Amino acid sequence: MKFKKIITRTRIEALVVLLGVVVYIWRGLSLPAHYRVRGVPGPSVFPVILGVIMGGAALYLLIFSREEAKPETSPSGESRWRRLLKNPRFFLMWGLLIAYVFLMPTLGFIISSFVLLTAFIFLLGERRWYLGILIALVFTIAIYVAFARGLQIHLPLGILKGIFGWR
Amino acid sequence: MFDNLIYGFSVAFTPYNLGVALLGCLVGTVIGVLPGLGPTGTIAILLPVVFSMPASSALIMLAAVYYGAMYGGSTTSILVNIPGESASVVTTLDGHQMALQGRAGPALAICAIGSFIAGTFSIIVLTFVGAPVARYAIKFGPAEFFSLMVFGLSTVASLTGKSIAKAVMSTVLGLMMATVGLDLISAAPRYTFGNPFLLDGIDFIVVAIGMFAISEVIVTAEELKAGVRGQIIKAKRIWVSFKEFVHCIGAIFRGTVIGFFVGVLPGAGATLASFLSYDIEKRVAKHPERFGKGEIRGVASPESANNAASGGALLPMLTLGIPGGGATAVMLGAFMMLGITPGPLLFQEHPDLVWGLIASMYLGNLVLLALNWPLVNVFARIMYIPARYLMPIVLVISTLGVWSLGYSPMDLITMGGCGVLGYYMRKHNYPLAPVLLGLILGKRMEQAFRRALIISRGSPLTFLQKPISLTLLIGALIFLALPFLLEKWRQFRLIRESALKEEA
Repeated sequence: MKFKKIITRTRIEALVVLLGVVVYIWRGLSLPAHYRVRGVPGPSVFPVILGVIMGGAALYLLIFSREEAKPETSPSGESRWRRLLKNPRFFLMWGLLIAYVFLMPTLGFIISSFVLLTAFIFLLGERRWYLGILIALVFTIAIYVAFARGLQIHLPLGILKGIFGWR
Repeated sequence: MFDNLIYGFSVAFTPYNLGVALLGCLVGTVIGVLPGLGPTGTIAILLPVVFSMPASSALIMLAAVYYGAMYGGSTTSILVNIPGESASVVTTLDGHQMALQGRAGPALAICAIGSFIAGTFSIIVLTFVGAPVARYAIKFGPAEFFSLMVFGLSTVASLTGKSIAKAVMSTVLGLMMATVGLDLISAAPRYTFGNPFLLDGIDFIVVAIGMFAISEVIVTAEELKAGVRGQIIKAKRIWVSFKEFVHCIGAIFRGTVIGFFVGVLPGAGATLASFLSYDIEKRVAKHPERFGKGEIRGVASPESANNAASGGALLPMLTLGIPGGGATAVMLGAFMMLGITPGPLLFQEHPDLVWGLIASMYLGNLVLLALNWPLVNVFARIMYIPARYLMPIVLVISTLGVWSLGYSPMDLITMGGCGVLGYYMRKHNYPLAPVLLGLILGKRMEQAFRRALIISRGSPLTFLQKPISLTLLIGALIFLALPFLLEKWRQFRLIRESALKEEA
C-alpha cells in the first residue's frame, strides 16, 4: 500500500474531530464540583456521552473509511486544491465575506454592503462596470430603506454617521 | 374536531393572514424556481422578518414558503431541465422529455393537479390525526421523550447522506453545539470559555443562516458559469385530457401515500419521497421502459409525493415537537423564538396556532393552484434573474437578518464561521440538516435524559423498562443498522448473480 493511500482526507478529518472530542470531554469533566449533586446526573454526563459517540464515529471513519474509489484529481490531473489555488475567485469570495462580517458594525452598513455587492457582482462575471456599480448602489439603498425604515431595524451607520446629519 | 377546524379557518381568514399566506406562497414559488436557494435557507432568512408578526401569521407564512417551494421546483424541472429544489430532481427525467415532445402543458397540469391532491390529502390526514397523536404523546414521560428524540435523530442520520458515520457526526455536532451555554438544570456554564456571549448558548438561527444560506450562496457562486442559460420551453395550453388524468390517478394516489408516510418519518423528507415513489411507480408499471422518455406517470407520482411529504413532515413537528428535516427544524426554531414551547401540549395551549396553520394550508394549496396555473410561464422566467446579482444580495440580507437578532458583532462572526464550516461539510458529504436537528433538539433531549434519570434514581435501565421507550430505542437501532444491512444484502446479491452467470 502506498503512503498516500493511508493518509486520506477523511482520515485527517477524523483525526481533527478526535482531537476536538478529547478537548470537549476534558472541558466537560473539568466543571467545578459544586455543580454536581450526589445521585443525580450532573452537567457533565450528557457531554461525555456525546463525546463518546462522536469519538466512536470518528474512529470508525479513521479505520474503515475507503473512499478512494474516485481519485482526488480532475481529468487534467490536477488536485482539487491546486485547481482552487489557480482560481483566486474562491478565496476572494470567502475573504470578502469574512471581512464584511467583521467590519460591518464599524464601517457601517451602507459602505460595507456597497463594497461587498460591487465586488461580488464583478467577481461573478459582470462586465459592464456602470451596471455593476449601479445595481450595487440601488440595492444597498433599497435594502437599507426596507430594513431600517420599514422594519425598524437599527443598522450601523459607521463612519457615515454625522456626515449627512443622519441619526 | 370540526369546531377546531372552523376556529382555525376563522384565524386563517382574516385579511392580514390571507395576505401573509399569499405572500408566503409567492415567495415559496419564486425560491422554488430559483436554483441555488432552498426552502431551509429562505425560511431561516425570513425568521427575523416575521419576528414582528403575530405568532400565527408568522407560522402561516413560513409554512406557505415551505410548501410553495415544492410547487415551484417542478416548473423549471419540466420547462428548463434544471430542478429548482432537490425534491424535484426526479421530475426532470420524464417532465422535461414531455416538454421536448411539446407536451409541457399536460406535464405542468398534472403536476399542479397531483400537488394539489397530495397537499390537500396530507392536510386532511393532519387535521384528523394530529390531535389524537398529540393527546397520546402527552402521556409520555421524560424517558419516552428521550427515546423518541433518539429515534428521530437516528432516522435522520440513517436516511440523510451517503455515509452513516458522517451523518452521525453531523448529528452529534449539533447536539454538542446545544450543550454550549448555561446548563438549565444545574446552572453550570459549559463550554463558554469565559466568554459572556456564549452563556446564552449558540443561537439556532445564526447557525441555520450561516450553514444554509451563506454556504449555499458560495457553492452556487462557485459553480456559476457566465453565459450558461437553460432554454426555457414555453408551455402553451396548460391542460390535461381526461384520459390522461385517469391514467395518472393511480400514480397520484400511490405518490401521495408514499410521500406522506416518508414525510412523517424524521429525516426522510420530500427528496427521498420523490425518488422512492418514482422508483415504485416504475416497478408497478406495465411498461416500465416508457419511464424516462416522457411518461406522464413519472411526473405525477414524484410531484404528488414531494407535496404530500411536506405536509407529512408537519405532523411530528406539530404533535411531538420533533422536526423531520432542515426546513421543519427552522420552523420549530421560529416557535421557540416566538416563545412557544413545541411539543404535544401545543394543541391544547395554542389552538390558534395549530388550527390556524392547518386551515391556512387548505387555502394555501388553492392559492398555489390559482397562482401557478395562469402564471407558470412568468414564473419560469424568474430563472433568468442573473445569479451574479441575486447571490450577493442574499448574502447582505442574510447578514442583516442575523444582525437584527441582537445587534451583536459576535453573532455575525459566528454566522461567518458556520458558513465556512457548512461549506466544507457540503463539499465533503457531511449532511447539514442533522446539525440543525441536533442543535434544536439538544437542550430538550438532555433535560429529558436527566429528568428520566432523576426519576429512576440514576438507573439507566429506565429507558429499557418502559415499553414505549424500549420500542423506540430498538427502532432507532434498526434504522442505524439499516444502511449496513442493505449494503451487505446488495453485495450478497451481486456475488450470487455473478456466480449464477458463471454457472450458466
